[in-house]
Amino acid sequence: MNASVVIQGVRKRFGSTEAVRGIDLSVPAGCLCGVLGPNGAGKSTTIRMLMSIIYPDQGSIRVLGSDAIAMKDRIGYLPEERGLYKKMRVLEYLAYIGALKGLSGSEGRRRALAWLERIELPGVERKRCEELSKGMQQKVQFIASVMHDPELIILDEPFSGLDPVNSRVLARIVTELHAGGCTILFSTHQMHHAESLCDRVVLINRGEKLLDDSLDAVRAGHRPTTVVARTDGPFEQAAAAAARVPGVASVERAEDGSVLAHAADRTDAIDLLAPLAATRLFSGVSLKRPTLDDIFVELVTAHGGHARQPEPNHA
Amino acid sequence: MPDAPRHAGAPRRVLSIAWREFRTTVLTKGFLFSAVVFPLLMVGVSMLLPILMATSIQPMTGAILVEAPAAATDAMRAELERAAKDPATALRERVERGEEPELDDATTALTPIESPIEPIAADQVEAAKERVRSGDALALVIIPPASLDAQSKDPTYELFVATKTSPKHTSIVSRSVREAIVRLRVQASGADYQRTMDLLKRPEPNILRLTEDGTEAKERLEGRMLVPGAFMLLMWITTFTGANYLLTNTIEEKGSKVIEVLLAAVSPMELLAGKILGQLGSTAVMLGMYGLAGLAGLSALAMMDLVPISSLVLMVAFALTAYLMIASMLTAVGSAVTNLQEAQALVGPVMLVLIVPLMLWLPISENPNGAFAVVCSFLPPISPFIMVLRATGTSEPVPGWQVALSLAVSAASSVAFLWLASRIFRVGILMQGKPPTPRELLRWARYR
Repeated sequence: MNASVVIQGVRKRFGSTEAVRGIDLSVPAGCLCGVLGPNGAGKSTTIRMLMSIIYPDQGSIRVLGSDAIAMKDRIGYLPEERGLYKKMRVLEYLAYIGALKGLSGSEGRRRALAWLERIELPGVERKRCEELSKGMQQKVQFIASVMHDPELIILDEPFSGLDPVNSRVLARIVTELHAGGCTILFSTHQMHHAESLCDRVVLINRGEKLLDDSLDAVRAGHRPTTVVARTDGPFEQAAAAAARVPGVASVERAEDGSVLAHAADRTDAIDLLAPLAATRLFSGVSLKRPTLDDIFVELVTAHGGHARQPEPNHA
Repeated sequence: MPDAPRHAGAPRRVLSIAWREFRTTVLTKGFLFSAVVFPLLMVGVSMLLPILMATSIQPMTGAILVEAPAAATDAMRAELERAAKDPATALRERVERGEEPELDDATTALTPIESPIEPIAADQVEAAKERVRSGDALALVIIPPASLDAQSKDPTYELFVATKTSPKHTSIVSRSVREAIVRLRVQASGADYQRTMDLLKRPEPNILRLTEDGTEAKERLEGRMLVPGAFMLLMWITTFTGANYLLTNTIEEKGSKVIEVLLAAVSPMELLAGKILGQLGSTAVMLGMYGLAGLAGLSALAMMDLVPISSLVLMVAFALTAYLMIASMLTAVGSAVTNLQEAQALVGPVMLVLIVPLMLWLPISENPNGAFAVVCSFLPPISPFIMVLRATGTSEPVPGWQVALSLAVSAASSVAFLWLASRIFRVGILMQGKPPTPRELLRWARYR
């Protein structure tokens, strides 16, 4: 399969801070790829280099087979630091951005109106941008990044600042665009979005790539380490019994009152199922699959934590 | 599936940015008032001024009460009759005598004079004052006999008018009294008045400058100083205003975070080019409107000969280079800072340089072909202003090669300034945090 994005050995330094440290990445065409990482991990810097807004000190970047500068009309980009011309009317703003992306004035306005309907913002086209709420402004910014029907869409933290309702609207549209054949790359530090949308995830921490695989492969590669033991009796008694099972390193109370039994190092959580059931204090035992959040925390912690890098002066 | 978008070429993107920049600047109340309405008002006023002045002329009526020897009264009456019969001749005679008539004198001379002279006796002075105060008479004139003595060193007279009396009418009465006294004193000395006046005519100088290329140029203060200064000021104000719009717009775009959205669609160079081109449009509007207002004013004063077409062409060419240099500098500053306060620290040094032409206006107008003026004509970014100051003066032609070289230097410098600004712009526009020092700005220009 053709790769929409190919990054090889890219490094970027701002003063004494090395923001990106030799990242390699290949995003296949048609993929919906989430770039995960804590704040200051180097996600936005990598994306800005992808867009040729800033340039790497080392390494090469190919987007849609060329330099991003040459492909800007085929790429949709929603930056993390997004803004609008406050005094401009919404339709005028979208038509202007459309014109920069190669749309004629009438086509730009037609598409803008259609997108405003699609994203559930009807009737705002005559309003000035400053009159919109933050969430509405973010939706307008999203339209500006996709209204020219790009092949590749790059979204930097698209869900930040959106309420749950608008997050769902945006997630639905991202899914539709992906189903329509777009390659989508988006960064986030909210794991549930990545988990529900992506078919591929890349984890970056401290400017290095820690993980790059399909979501299924990532899950498969991280075996469960915890058993959920449901009890109808007193929690303390059940927890004490679970703690005495060989191979259980620690126990804790789940939100629903169940006992969470964490396997000790070198112990497979599967091997804890039978001994816990044998205590006869639990109405059911099951493996707790690690969420992407768990995997994220585990990998980042193993990589020395997510101590935030100094904010580079260069955006 | 909607039809695929046309791929926007760089020129189309640049034009889109320029058009937005132009529209958002020009279609504001402030700009429309300062660059369109105000110059149009100036044109309107300069065209209406003669009409307004003519309509302000009120005929001089009401008796002039005169307490003076009969000869003085007669002489004064004769003066008023002469002024009433042929005001143009009377005004010309005053000019020939060396008086410097003011603009208002023209309308004063055109005032219809219908006031009779009414002699009074010395004991009627107080009653006469009352008549003047009540508006029954226009003025009271008291001429002491001693003032008519040819030997008198300090002739004087008294003129009483009401508080509401027009200054023009006061001036007409006063002048007729003065003329009458002079005429009588000259006659009393035994001299012929007309011959004496002729002898007192001050010669009109006709200063001609002999230039190195063999021509003779007539010396005129307006041509030597005022017109070149006006050209330079017009150029300075419009180019600086246009460039200042760029500075503020760039800061606003950076502050509102819209820059990165734009950079997703265009390259930094295209963005810079579009912005500079857009504001060039607004600068051209200002230059055109104020230029037209100035030309209308000169036309009203019958001084169009001071502004040959070649001067206008030169000013436009040099204004373009000046704008490109100043716009480059201010856009680079705007890209590097996050607010106007930070910009002031970096604009300060730029202003220090740009204010130099204003300071050199008088010395260079006095000696437009001096070594200092010649050197300054080749020093960017002040070269366009200095050369316009020199080349649009009418007194001393500037060698053609100097004009051409200055234009070439200014054009080349504009390209260099644009290049340097684009290097700083592409780095600075994404920069946040503390503003850079001028040294850091130059270091950005070397970034890959």
